[in-house]
Amino acid sequence: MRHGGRYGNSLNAAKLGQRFDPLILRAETLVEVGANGSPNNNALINPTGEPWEIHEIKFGVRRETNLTYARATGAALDVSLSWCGQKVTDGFVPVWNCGAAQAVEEFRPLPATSRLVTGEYWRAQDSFYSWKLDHPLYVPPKTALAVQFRNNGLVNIPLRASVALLGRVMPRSAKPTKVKVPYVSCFKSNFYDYLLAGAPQVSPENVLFNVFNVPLTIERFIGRVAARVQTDEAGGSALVYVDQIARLAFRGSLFSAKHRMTDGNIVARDWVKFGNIYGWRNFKWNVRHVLDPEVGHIVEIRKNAPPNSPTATTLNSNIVDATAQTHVSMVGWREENVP
Amino acid sequence: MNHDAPITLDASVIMDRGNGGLDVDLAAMQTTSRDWLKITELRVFIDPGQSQSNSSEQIDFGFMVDVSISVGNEDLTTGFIGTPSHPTGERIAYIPAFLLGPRIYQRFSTINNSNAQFAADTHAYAVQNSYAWTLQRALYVPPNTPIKFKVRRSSTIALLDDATLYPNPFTVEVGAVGTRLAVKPRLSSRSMPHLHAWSPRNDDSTRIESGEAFRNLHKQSLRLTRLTGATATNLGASINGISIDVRQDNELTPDPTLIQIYDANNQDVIVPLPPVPLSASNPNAPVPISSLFLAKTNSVRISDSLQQNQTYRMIVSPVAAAPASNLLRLPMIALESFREVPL
Repeated sequence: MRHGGRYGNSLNAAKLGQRFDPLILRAETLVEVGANGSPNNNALINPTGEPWEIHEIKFGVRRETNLTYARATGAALDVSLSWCGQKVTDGFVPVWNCGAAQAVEEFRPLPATSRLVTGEYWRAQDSFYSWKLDHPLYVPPKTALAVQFRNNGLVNIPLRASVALLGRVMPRSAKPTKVKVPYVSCFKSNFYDYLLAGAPQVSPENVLFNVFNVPLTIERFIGRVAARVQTDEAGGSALVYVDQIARLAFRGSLFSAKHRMTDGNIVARDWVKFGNIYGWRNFKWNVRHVLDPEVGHIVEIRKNAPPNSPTATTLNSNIVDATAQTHVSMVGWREENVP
Repeated sequence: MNHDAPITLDASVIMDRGNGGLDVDLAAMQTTSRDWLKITELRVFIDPGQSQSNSSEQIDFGFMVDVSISVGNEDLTTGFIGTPSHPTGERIAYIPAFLLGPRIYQRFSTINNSNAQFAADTHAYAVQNSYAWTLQRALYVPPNTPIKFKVRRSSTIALLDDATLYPNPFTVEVGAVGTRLAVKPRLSSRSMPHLHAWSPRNDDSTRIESGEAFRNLHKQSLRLTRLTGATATNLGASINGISIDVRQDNELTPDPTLIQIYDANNQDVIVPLPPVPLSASNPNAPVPISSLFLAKTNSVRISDSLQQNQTYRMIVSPVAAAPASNLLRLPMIALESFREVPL
């Protein structure tokens, strides 16, 4: 990465002999169901006392219990971020809606010794997500990117939430006048029932919207589907888990979307399969464009009835219900003055 | 409109068996404004629904659905497809959707009692396929010009699109993704992508040359950028209780297909590594298809050019005898190119 240009003439790394040491800061916290929790934000301040810039933000979601069926994915954990008092996220957004999907996000580790003996270990699942920033985020000395998590209750278990900031230390003389600050806002639809067609739902105008008084450059949309399947297995007690295959079922054939802008521009005129707009493989659609202030996007989501089947479409006897909701986020950046 | 804005043009058709060619909704494939479009990707999505008899997880429906794409007077696709009456290929505007680009499987489980259940690991999968042609150079589309898609279900090849296994309609959704431009682009020329497919039928032990070499009929030189290829295989019979699959089988052992490709100078463009033993039946050392194309993408990037009236041609040789009487092997290879058209 070429360094120095965005810092004007204040930074000439070659003359200073500066090494730009890499830096990774990490913090975690336990978040109960329905509660908010902040990691130790002091752990996210550069300990060298110098400014630094963040290139990538990673989130981790880990189950804190040994419930057999519950899977911890980025759908269950929301995050709120702010930089020097400025919004990086529009309130809470799901951690899996910040960056494009990677090849492997969900792992099936064997954290509990009992699982080595009793089986069922394959259902255990932790998740990790990466958000590679489109532009480095300068962080002044003694300042932290403020992080707060929320366990939104999609899975009924406490979650161990972690954040890792990856970047490099900058010289003290480095102080840009303007910084490209990332921004994510997300629309979550209602939950739709697997067996029923669902009425179209339109995102509110003020969600996927440029709330700033400067132009907002949108780099991509990210569209994910959170599926929730509730079973009465494990001794008859109803448990909830998020099933990847169910997610594909909803995503593949059951959800369609329309997309337009508040200034009248049509993005997707007719109902289109959700994945055909927001990407099949890594759930992203790169759409670099500029949103003027007070302009935004509007997404309309529809749930189709399950297609005809050779037999009657009914839930399996051990499934209480199967539902899913869509998460469509808008990821971009705008320029802010450094305080 | 003050700024460029994203756009996706999409339309869907329902294809019964034997549909010989359906236009998609042209109105859906153009903008109603007077803006230029900058298209970066063309795609085809095939949803067989849940009503087919075969719910195996490795089906490539892109072998059963052909697509023809054109913009204005320009055909972006041409091909020679083997049929029983024209085993070495008849010239048509269609190419198998599989050859558009790397395909993505979309597996989904049914949730009813007979087919699948969520609770245990006993899902039965149905498959949807998505194929995307990511253009090497963006395609600029003038105002009021539709991107025409025609699709057909190639049920003339009965062994691929088996009437027993796939008795019901497919839903095919086509799309073009890009940017609506706020101002008319300043271009001295316009890049025009093209995809040409060869698919000589290859279900016996004969050595088949492509029915007609691919010839550059334009004044401008063609920049050749990618080869995509696979052998569509109907495994021919129920194996271990699993229904018949139609899928790409570049990795069958032994390789199902040997190929040679000759460039404008009539030179073999593939240098076999390791060398394939020469023999009387194999005089020019064709290479196994799996050694040419990457397994994940079924494609390989090339950098070559074709001047006006120069040709590319392909020779296919089968390797192994068919293990089942009704086995079908259908090699499919596509050549991606573009040319710059002066405005």
